[in-house]
Amino acid sequence: MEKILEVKNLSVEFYKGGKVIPALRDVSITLKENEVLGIVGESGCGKSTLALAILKLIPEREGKIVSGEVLFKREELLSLSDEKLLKVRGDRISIIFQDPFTSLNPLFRIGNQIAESLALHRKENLSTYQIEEEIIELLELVKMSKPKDTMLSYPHQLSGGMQQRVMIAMALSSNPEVLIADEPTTALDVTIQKEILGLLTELQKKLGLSVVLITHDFGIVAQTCQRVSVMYAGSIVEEASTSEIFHNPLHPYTKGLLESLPSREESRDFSQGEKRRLRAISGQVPDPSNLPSGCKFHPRCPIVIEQCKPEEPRLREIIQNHWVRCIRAG
Amino acid sequence: MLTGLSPKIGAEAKARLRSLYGLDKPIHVQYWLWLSRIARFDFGESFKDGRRVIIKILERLPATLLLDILSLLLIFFIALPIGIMSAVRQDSFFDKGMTIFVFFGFSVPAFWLALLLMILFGVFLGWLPISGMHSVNFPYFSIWGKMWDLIKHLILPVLVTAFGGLAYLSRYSRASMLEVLRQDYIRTARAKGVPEKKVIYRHALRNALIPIVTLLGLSLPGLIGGGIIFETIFAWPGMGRLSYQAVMARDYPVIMGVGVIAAFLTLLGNLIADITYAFVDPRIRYR
Amino acid sequence: MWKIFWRRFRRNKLAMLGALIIFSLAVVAVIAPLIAPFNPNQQDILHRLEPPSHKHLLGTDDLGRDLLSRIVYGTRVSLFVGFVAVGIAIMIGSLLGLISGYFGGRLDSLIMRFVDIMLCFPTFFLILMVIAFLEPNIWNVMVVIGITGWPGLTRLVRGECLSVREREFVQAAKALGLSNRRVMFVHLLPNVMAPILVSATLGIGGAILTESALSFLGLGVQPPTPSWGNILTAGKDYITLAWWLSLYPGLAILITVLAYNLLGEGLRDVLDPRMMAE
Repeated sequence: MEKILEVKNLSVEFYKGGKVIPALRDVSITLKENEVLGIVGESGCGKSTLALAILKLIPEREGKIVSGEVLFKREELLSLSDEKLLKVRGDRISIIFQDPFTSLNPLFRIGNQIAESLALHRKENLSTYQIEEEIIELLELVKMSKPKDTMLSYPHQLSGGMQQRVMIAMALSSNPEVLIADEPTTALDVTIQKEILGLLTELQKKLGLSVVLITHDFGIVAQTCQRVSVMYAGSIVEEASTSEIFHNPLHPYTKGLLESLPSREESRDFSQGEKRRLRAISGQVPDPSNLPSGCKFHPRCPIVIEQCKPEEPRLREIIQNHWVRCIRAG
Repeated sequence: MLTGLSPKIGAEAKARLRSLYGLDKPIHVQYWLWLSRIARFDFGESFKDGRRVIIKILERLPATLLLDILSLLLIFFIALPIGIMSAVRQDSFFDKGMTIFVFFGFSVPAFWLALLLMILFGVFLGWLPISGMHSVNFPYFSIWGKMWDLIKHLILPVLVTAFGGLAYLSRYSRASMLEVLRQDYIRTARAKGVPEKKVIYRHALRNALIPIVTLLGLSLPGLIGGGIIFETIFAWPGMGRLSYQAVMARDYPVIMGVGVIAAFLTLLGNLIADITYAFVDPRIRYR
Repeated sequence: MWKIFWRRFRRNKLAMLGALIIFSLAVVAVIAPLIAPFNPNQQDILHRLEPPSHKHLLGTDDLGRDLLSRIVYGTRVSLFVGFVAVGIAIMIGSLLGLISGYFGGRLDSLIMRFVDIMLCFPTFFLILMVIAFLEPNIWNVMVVIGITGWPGLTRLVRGECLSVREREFVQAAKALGLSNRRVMFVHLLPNVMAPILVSATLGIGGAILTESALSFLGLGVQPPTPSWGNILTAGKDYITLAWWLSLYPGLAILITVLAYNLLGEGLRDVLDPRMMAE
């Protein structure tokens, strides 16, 4: 399979209260066509920043992309002019966000908001009637029960699940090739989460989308992703296929995350249904403005040694297609 | 109090006054009578010239409304763009400059500004008249002459009345716009590929405008209060000047009358603000 | 905690500027008799309405009194009125706000209804009406400004109380059985202090503006006591003859109010909840 989206050595800095905070440090990910790549990490590890940076959506006042490249089908995105970038955003690469309620403009009806996407990205001039048809089709695609009513509604009149479906509809209105989903189900009820995830998986297969799924939940990763990148403190610490990660996690952080999951029968068989106490990783996620030296995980690492402290390890391919940032792996 | 006004009045006259004003009735009856009168906008007669208070007020109301409405328009059309621009170009030269300007705006005593402008434009340069609504030979002007005369008389009072509001509204609209620009839906709009100009004017502005528009209705009381000073300085024949004269002359019926009207207009302003808010924000309309 | 406050305060240049100006004004007010070149009430009809000169640096007014001296003494009035009026407003406002925010329920509704009613009237107008019924002098002015100022503060304090009330240490204090009064004043109040302080500082500026407006209209401080506002009355009356009577007193007001606004805004930045984060 071809690589459709490639992030190479991306570094992003934020400015807050006069201080410079490194949010992303030399991050690289690769998304292949028709694949679902999961980006996992705890809050504050920089995964949302990654999503925004790909489309240059970080406000100038807040932060800056310091170095790196983003290649979309071999075209470099970060150096594009604003005009050209607009043709990519929402058109070739779409993004949906975590909280659908605040992500929709409260003053415009749903139909209006979807129509805006259509008008921006469809080349043909569509008549009002055609636009309406399209909108209804899109809403049906995302399994909305009453598309006509929804079209005329305002965002606050819809439930969380419905709002997220609308977001997905908007994102797909231009037939994009890549969809970035930044924690799409985190703000939703657990039962709805399952529905939305199912919808996303179905749509991905049906439309041949390539998806970057950002989440903090390994369970979601298990269900939907083929490959996983684990992030910690602004950089990737492990990357492998999903089954590799679950069967053979190599980085202590990944191991810690997996072990802290409550065991469930449906998840892949890394837990044999035994009863054990919930284990947590000791310590806390480091303050981005005050990162430890060397390996950023070393203060919390159960297998830390002296060599971990001075210098940060590089990503090494320990097994084929399985990369780890740890000097003690392999 | 009454007897304090005219100490030489004889006992019989006092008694007559008492019954005339109903002061000999029990207090709750008096209050009820007063209340029912107020409800009908019957404020009695002025102590000064005996004419009905309500008439005096109505004579002056148009002049005050003219001044206030023009000021509101001026405030809106200048302060709003300034505020929005400051928000969009936050921390730019423009923004910082406007912030300084606004700071001064909040600290300047408006009546002093009025005096200075009068000195500059009226006394030294002689361009604009400094008092009244019409020139002496107004009735002899053609229709255009009359309009131009009115405009000349309006310029300074409107500028000065609008001044305080300008500073306030530009600050407020800046804050509102900044708040909106931070919202997630703005990020969504950009992510959809909406050009930046449209993001600001179509998505952001409309949301930012909601609280601002309601503010306009709420500005009414401020203008009424300020009107007292400015109308007096510029000898503008409006309600404010009437109040001032009444206060100086201890003309209580007029003072009460204007007070009630002022409160009424304030409530009206609030009501307009609420209605406008419901009109403009669908979240309120469709609960 | 105070050390942090002090350090941040010193870093904020505008706030420092404001504080400096206010301090200087306070000094001027106190040592007025020492600085003023003339007795502010000393009339000299032969030299009335004279423009600024070597002898009278800012000119003379309609009764021949030295303008500079009058302005210097006017500082006393302005600062005094500012402090007392705002002091009254704070005392009433924060007390009612604390009670309203802490106890809630019917007491809260009652107080807030009252606040709403008071806010029904255009403030300046209300002041005017009240002064009309009373005699215009400096004491009434101060009291009236204070009395019209408290509703805004009550709302503010109540709001802060509502958010602080739910925090753990308040619950803890109540659980320990501390009396209501103690919880309110010892625990709640210090946390609500910050916005009160900001509001008070900005309020002093506002009070000075209001007092000068009232005095200008002849309804505030009465001559011969010099108030920047009542000097401006002469400025208006003699507008075509003596521009200096209009310019300088107003300038004094401007600088003073500006200083308070700078200080107030600076305090607002300094006392931001960020302080907790640091």
